Amino acid sequence: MRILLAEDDQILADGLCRSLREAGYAVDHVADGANADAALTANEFDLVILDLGLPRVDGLDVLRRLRARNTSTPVMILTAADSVEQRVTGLDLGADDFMAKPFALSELEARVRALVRRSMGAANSLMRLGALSYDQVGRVASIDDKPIELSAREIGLLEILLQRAGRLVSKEQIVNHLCEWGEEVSHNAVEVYMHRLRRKIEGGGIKISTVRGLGYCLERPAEAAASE
Amino acid sequence: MSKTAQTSAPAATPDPSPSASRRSWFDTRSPVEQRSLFGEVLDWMFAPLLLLWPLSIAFTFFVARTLADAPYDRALADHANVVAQQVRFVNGQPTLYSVSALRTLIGVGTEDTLFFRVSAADGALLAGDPELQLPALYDFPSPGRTKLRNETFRGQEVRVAYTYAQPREDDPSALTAPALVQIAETIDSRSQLANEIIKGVIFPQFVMLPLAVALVWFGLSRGLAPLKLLRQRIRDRRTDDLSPLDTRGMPEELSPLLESFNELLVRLDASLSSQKRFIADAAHQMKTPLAGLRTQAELAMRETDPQEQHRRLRQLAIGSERTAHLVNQLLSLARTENIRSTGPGERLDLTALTREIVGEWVAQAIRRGIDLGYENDIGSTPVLGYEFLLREMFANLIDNALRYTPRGGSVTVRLRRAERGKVCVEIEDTGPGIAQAERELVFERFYRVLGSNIDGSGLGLAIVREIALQHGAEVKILDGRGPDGPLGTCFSVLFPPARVGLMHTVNAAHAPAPDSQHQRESQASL
Repeated sequence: MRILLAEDDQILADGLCRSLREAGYAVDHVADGANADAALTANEFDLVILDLGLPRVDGLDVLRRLRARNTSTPVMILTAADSVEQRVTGLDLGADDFMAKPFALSELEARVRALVRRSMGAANSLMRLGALSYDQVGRVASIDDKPIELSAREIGLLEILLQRAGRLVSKEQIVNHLCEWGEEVSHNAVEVYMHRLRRKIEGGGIKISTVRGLGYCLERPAEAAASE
Repeated sequence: MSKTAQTSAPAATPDPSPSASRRSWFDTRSPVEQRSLFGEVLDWMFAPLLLLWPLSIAFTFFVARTLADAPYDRALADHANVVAQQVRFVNGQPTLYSVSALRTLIGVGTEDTLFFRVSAADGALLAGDPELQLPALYDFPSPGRTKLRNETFRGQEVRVAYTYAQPREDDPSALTAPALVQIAETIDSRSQLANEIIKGVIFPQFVMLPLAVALVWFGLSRGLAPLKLLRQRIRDRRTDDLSPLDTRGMPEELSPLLESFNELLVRLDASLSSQKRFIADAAHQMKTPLAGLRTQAELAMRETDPQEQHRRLRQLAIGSERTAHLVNQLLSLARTENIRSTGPGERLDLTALTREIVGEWVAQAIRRGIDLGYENDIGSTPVLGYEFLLREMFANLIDNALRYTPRGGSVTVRLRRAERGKVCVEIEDTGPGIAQAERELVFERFYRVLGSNIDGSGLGLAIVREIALQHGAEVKILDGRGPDGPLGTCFSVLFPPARVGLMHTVNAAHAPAPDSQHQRESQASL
């Protein structure tokens, strides 16, 4: 899960980065609107946490440009102004959630989880795929209700695959979603993580197929059954 | 008569209200007497009127008397002449021809209102009433003329006409002394006429006056009705409604008042909305650092690793320090704006003040490894102003310069004489400089030059501009003059000559050579 945090206050940004990274997300931080816009153009994020009072380019403009590119990335707005008009404008422009400063960190974390979950298409925090279930809050995967032990990287990988179950996921996408800027994860490393993940979950009838030269696909149980 | 008129005059204003409004004269609720416009107009109308009224009555009385007197006097004089013609001169002795003829001619003796006396030159009674007095010595008529006088006869007032009866020219006794003919009439009838005239004139006034009062009352009420309407409009307003007052239906005389009132509303609106904007800005700016503090505090509480916890606490300390700085700057800006319009301030020596402030920043400059210098090519420079405000302004500018100048750079505070007697204080640094496009924007509240990564409230320069404005000074951002071409920023504060005061002109007269006073104090770099 890769999150873009656009916030110009150093201390707040530092705290949010720390909290989100602890929760297992890859977090990229930008301090102004122009950089936020550039980052959103260049990379794909699973969630954007956007401060409205950004220097250079206003947060609402960043949001407007993002939606103009037809991107459906969930956006959570942070703002110091809590007027109803601003909320309405933000939500109308395509924001998914709104938090007024100052907020409780735990609330922000819960809302981030909810947004990520919704973007995965799940109404509750427990995702199921055949015998495999994944608890987004606890970040615990289980097969037949028996928890399996996964590293942070493997959890991240599983999340990406679950989010796009039944669809092709390229290695670039995986690298992109797994790491922050300045982090180096090679395609070989992805293959290693994938190998470990497969070994841990494929026992429960879950199949991750390799599409040579393109990437991977987490097969839905029905498809898995059909292919056998 | 005039006495009656005077006492009846107050009764002629039957409406109790004017006295009610006059009561407000004594109704001293506020130290400044609150006066009613209505009462004022009525007072100024009726007080003179009450004085003029008795005068007019007296005049009427006098005119009526004269009018009544004239025909009676003429008739009386005629009677006197008729009697005079009845006097015959026989052998130099005047005798009355016939008393009975007089009775038929003028009715003497038939009524007890007419009396006569004919007397010889020596005063001997020839005919008539001896009780009728002779005129005073100096009051005898000239021959051929008839005179009139007032007299008391048998206890009543009478009017007397008297003339000389003379022998005709052709009379042999032409040289005989003439006889004095007097005829008196009681004044009852003429008084009656006079009274009648007066009644005829005064009586309608008793009707007209209350009518006039009523009409004036009505007119005033009508005329003042727009004021009542205006009061209603103002009273019906919501407290936050600062739109201009509706001037429809308002009389011309009120429009200057309404215009200035509406102008006041516009100014009030502007000041209120700027205040609202300021509060909104301030609240907005306070919330972000608070969110940062809260986040860091929550993380610190959650943290088990002491090192990481320490890092959170350090962030908390930095954050609270910044927040405190922001609050201070906000208060300082609010204070600065409040002090506007409290006069020109006190006389200060700009040279001594800037030197002192620069001295205070030396330690800070050394810590940052910056060469802080002071240059002054003029002597003492008096200005009118507030010391604490100017201190705040220069402190902000120097603080700013130190913050943006990299280690090893230099900051120079310079006092110099500018064109047209102005005095210029420059704060020049060797920092990154401010782009031309941003030079106006940096003075706006909460604007911060991007990419500088320098802590700041975003209020410092807003405060500087506000203080400069109050001192009639002008703040400009120029290119710094580095040793090899433009480098850094130069803030120039130009104090106008009017503020420089008299002492300056004295100094200018024998100004020292620019370099003689040149000094470079507090060399901070090593």
